[in-house]
Amino acid sequence: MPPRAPWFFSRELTIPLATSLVLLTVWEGLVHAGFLRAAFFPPPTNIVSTFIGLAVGGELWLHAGTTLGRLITSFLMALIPGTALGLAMGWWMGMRTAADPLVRLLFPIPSIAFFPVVIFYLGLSEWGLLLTAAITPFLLIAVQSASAVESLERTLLEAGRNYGASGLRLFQRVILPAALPRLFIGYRLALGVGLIVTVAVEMVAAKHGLGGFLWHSWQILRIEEMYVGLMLIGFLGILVTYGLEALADRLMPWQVDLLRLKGQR
Amino acid sequence: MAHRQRSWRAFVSPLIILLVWELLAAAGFLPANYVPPPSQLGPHLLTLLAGGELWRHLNVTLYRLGLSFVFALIPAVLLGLCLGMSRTARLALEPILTSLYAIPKIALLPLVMLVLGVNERTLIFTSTLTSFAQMTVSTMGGVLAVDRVVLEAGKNYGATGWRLFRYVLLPSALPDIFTGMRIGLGLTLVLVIAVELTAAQEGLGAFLWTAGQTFSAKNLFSAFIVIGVIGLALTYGLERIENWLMPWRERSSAAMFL
Repeated sequence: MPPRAPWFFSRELTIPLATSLVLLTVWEGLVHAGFLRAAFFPPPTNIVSTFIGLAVGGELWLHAGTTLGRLITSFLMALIPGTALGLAMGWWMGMRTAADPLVRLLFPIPSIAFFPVVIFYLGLSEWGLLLTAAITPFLLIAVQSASAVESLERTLLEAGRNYGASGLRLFQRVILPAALPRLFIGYRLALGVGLIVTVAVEMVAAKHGLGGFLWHSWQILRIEEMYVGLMLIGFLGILVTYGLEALADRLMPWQVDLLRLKGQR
Repeated sequence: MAHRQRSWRAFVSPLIILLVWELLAAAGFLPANYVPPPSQLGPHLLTLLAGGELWRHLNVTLYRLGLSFVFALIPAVLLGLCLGMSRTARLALEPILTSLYAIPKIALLPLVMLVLGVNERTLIFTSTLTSFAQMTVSTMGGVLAVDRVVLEAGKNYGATGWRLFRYVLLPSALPDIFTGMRIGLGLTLVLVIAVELTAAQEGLGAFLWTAGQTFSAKNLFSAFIVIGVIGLALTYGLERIENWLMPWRERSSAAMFL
């Protein structure tokens, strides 16, 4: 058996790294050779130095912090009532009959379309932005939480009951842990939607935040700064899309295989 | 869906809300220029549609949605299939695809506007990126998720190359490809509306934005309803088609988003 290569030589790491480096080098080279217009595609080294300048100045962190704060606040505004409504819908038939049609009616409406309606009533305020970014995540979490309860194994519930758990104990010890992986899928998707809406709303209507920064630097044609904004938004996107998936695998290792088996990643 | 046999129940709570809304308006609690009652909203919507104005915006939006989707479809499925089958290609393109998939595509609008100018091509191209990223990733996932046992069985029966692809790989990956198309179309609708809100003169998003800015509650609600109906039609219509095309497929409400 040949000795195993150390992890940093594995193809999973070397090939993506190599293509990234080649791409960036080619980009840099093409700009300097005059084939790519620096006005549209400034060389990566310029973008990096702009990034460092902005990062030292601190202004950039204000924008990034604002966006992150909005994302988290609106997510919490969606998470708490969404989970509560979803669990109630999954548990009580009456609740399901009343709320399910409304949720299913509102959920497919493109999230960003709520924005003009919300600011029509709330004005162009921070609450308007937060509420807009919370609506679709709220509905998504409610649907997903309801289906999490519905798909619980009846055997688990019966076993819990036979061991004498009821009421809050049954909920805490049996229902919640069993439903958690599916709830988490809902949270992850909701955060992704929340980021899209937050950035879009910031681009349309906010001075602060990464979306506002991006839009502003486009308008005054500070192209390097635009790329820096894009980079940070992309970083947030990667964090929300892939970071949470990794976190879920870490937190709930016993359920990963179960979900994989059902083909739900 | 489990509760199809009692589908009339689905209409109860929306109808109650409409009724309460109407009654509150009639009793004078809701000012009509702020929260127009359904009985005024319905005729207004019909007038707007019949007068052609809303109809024109609707057509522009549907045209953009359709083109964005169609432009992305073939390249995305082809690329997804290639990436699913070749590990090297997958690893090589991973950085680009991962970034493109994860970034909110609306953030790319300024860059695209910079390069292509502020015109129709820009709006469509930005929306195309959304469909493209989603469908590529779903197709790739579909190929990767093909059961190794099925693949081995195919090989043992002598299928190789094109035959293996056509009769084993493609049918197994098809449900995921279709899911990617459905989710891609939904996300593209969000993008088209967002792009129209941000940077267009025409289209439902632009009409919605103008209505809000000019404090025309009736226009605002009308545009919102039309956009909502497109969203509903895409989500549930495609779900129906999917169930009809692939009835063997296990359904769950979670798969609605995944």
